[in-house]
Amino acid sequence: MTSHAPSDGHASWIAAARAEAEDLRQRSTFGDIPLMGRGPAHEAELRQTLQEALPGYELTDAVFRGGQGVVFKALQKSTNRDVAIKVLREHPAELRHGTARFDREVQILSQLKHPNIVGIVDSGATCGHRYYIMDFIDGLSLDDYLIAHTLSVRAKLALFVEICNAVNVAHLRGVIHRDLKPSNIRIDRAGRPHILDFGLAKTDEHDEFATVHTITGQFVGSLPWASPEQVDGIDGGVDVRTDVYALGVMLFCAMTGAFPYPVDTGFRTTIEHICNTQPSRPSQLANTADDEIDQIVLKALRKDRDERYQTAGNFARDIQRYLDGEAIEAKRDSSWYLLRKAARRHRIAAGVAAGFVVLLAALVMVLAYSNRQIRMARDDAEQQAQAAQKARATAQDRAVEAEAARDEAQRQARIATAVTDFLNDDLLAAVAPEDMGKDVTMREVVDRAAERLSQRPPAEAEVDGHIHFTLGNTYLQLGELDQALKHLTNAQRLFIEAYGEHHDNTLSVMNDLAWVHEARGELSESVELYENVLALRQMHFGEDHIETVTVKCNLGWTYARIGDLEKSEALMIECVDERRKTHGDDDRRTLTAMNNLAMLYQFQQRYDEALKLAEPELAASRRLLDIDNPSLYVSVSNVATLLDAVDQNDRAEALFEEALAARQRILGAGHPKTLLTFNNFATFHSGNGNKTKARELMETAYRLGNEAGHADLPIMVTITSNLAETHSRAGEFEKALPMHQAALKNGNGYLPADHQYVGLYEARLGRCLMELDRITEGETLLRSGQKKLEEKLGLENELSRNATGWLAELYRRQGKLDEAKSLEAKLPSETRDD
Amino acid sequence: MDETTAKSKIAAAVAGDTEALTALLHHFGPDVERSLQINPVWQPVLETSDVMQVTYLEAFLRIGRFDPERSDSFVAWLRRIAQNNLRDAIRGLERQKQPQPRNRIRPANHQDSMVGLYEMLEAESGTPSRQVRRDEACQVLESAIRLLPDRYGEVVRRYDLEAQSIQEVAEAMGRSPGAIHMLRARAHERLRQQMGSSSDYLDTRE
Repeated sequence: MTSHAPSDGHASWIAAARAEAEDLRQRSTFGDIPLMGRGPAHEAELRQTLQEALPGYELTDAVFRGGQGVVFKALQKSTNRDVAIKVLREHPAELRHGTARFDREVQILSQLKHPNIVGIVDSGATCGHRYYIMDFIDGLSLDDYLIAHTLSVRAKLALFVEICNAVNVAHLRGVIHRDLKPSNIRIDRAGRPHILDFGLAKTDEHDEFATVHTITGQFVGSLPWASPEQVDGIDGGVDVRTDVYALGVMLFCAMTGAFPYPVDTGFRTTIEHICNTQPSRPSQLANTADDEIDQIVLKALRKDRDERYQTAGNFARDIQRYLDGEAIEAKRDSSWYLLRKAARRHRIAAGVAAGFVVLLAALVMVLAYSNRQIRMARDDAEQQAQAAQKARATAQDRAVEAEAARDEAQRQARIATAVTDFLNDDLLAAVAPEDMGKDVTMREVVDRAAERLSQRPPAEAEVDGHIHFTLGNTYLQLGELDQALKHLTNAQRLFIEAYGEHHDNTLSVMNDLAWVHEARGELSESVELYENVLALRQMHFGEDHIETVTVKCNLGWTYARIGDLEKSEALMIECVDERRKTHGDDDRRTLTAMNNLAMLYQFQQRYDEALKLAEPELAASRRLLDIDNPSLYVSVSNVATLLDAVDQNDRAEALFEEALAARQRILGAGHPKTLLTFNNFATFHSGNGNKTKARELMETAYRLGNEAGHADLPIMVTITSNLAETHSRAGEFEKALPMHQAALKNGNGYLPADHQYVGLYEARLGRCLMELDRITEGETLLRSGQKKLEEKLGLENELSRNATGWLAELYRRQGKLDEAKSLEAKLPSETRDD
Repeated sequence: MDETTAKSKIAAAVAGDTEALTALLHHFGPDVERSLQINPVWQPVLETSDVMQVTYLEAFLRIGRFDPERSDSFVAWLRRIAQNNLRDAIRGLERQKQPQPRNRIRPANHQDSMVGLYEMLEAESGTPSRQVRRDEACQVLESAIRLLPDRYGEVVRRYDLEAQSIQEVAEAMGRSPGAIHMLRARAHERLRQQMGSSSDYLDTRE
């Protein structure tokens, strides 16, 4: 190599470059800036300096390099215990703030006396280096520990309870860690966690050291565990919930071995993910995670910190609830979930559990409503009371308003208390201790409660109204429509008395009453009620109000049932659009509307349009709903029916089986919805040539429905007619006849006279009579039925074709060949070229 | 400086010893400067000293990625940095002769210019442009600019964000126009790395 003496120019340029690079390194905590002057030579020098300054310690060769400094392992000679000596990295940012900040850090840590937080032994300074000495934790970082030890899910969760509780202790002392990550949590040989490196800790009050700005804005920490508010750089946005988020990330990783979203894709993309990407559900990545763990983890990872656990302590408690089999906070918006947990915890007999679940669902809803009213009233009262101090209006006026609001809150509280008392004293008392463990039916429980209600003196209209409302809904859910009607009618009367005819509560009861009428097949009454409620809601609450849209949905469906498909479709489309707009695509209310419209399309044999709605709705329902939520199986069942219609038989069969098993488990074998699934599954098998299985299902449904006392329900009419038809096809006309007669009689009880199903029942009965040589009777019914079917469904429809063929056959038997041929000519030719 | 000493100093420099690196630059820098050839067309607006000043800064910034085992000699590495700088300076000067308005940002306000710069950097990097919230782009870029060497940051602010001309920036900074182009090229390179590099968490070597 050629040797040159450096010119003056080069020397100054080199010096300038060196200074500029050094300054840059001091400003940066990321990137490829090398540890200038921090290489091995420097560390050796540092070790020597420390050793000389700390004769009571023996420094070892082990060294760890962190974001803020170097850490040496040492032996405290006096106690013969291992310690860690952390030395501050000396760069100007630290020197400007560093000494005071370092002292503050030490002070914070020395205050945190907790078995799961690394303690401070000593601190000091030597040769311009600040240091502190802390407990050395002989163990592994959290990540390494989880890799080295195969922990069960419960063990991992128990570990996190400890970690969260320790963090919470720090929070209670006003300290936020802000850099929680696995490398800052060490697990000792006993499996106990220890949190360290509070070097970035921030106290709640008057922290004059502003967060160092880095590439991503305002946080100093490690990006994969950074919260949205950290990377967003929201000034002052870091609080205890920031640590909750980091804990959530770690728990997600512990459960799944992966991050909630990709974090190895560069700063920009990672930041976008943190701010905008919804995390995966842990159960999608690990089959050891269940829905409750999903909810716990996802609650900690909410983008909006107001929606997270508000403290690490709450996070710990919810994990502990899960471990104890209790209802977790993260799922408290699911009434069904709450009840299932309550039933398990109170060890209610199996026969009672399902019904108890139903009842408590209604009660929880009522209480939740009441509690919400109380909270709202209380909040309003508080706000008004505060506003009264600032308002320009007379203080006296404001005080009067605030007083009124407080009175309202107290009234609501009184109602809630009264309802609660009823639950405790009347309802739950109906389940006597000696009944526990026996197969007491829910029907018996709620009957006893209803009886106690009828025997006691009436209370306030509002209180009794709510109780009747609760009981009415319970009976409705149980499928006990007569009792539901009775109690809801009482509730309506009492609510009118208490609130007036146009009050939200009154309209809610009317909606439920319309629902009961519809379930009983009293479609005219149902439509009339729904139309009334809709008009009133539109007038008093507006077109877009949530409840207004609900009524539209319900009325839309009832229109479909009475055959007014045009009105039905128009309303249902409105409903879907409005719910999508208000609640988004992944909301249960939107999904219900989509489901109903899909069913309408299915009814009209618009299967493709139906599936386009129903399949996404099912997928969303599976995401949103608990597996014991009956609403999920509405979706499952409906998609099964659609898939059957488009001959996707394997998928349809699997879904039918799923829906049937679930409904039997959750609702009971005789529940109308369960019967519906039996019917649809039987139809599926029948259509696929499996007559034996179809008949078996139909007979089971027929027996269960009658045992449950549902003989006159619309679904039972369908089942009766279908089973009768099964017998007819098998030539068992004597057996079929009474069932066909019952189906027509009961169908006429709830369907309009010109309804296509009335026509179907007539045609089937007419054919049966024909086969039994009761030709004249048969002709009347077949003519009537065939006409209705042809008019309503057209001759392309299989049911119409069947009826037409039967009538033609009847004409032949009567010798009316011309009439027979005329009818047969109307039938679509199977050999026609299209 | 004999080979053994050079080797030892290179190893120390890579490990973070700035004194070692300084010595190496003193030793090899002038040779590298002598190897630079600037077309007479550009000599009025670009000098080898401009190139070397930026080359030295880049050497301090990038020494940690130099791998003596895998790379050719230190001086070749240094020369490559210098040649890249020279090339970028000349490219900038050539473009300046035929200005392309779409590459300049005429901001209505600071935030607009930030977003514009952000998008330009994305385009330069060849990565698909991403939809970025305006305020987010500002934050990210603002923070990234703060982490540039002072000279780089000043060029970006003056030229890219404040739309000063090359001449104006050169006069303000006491540099040649060619140097400004070079500084800008290095600045953009570092900004792209900081904002979207996949090697953020990896210790890459050249």
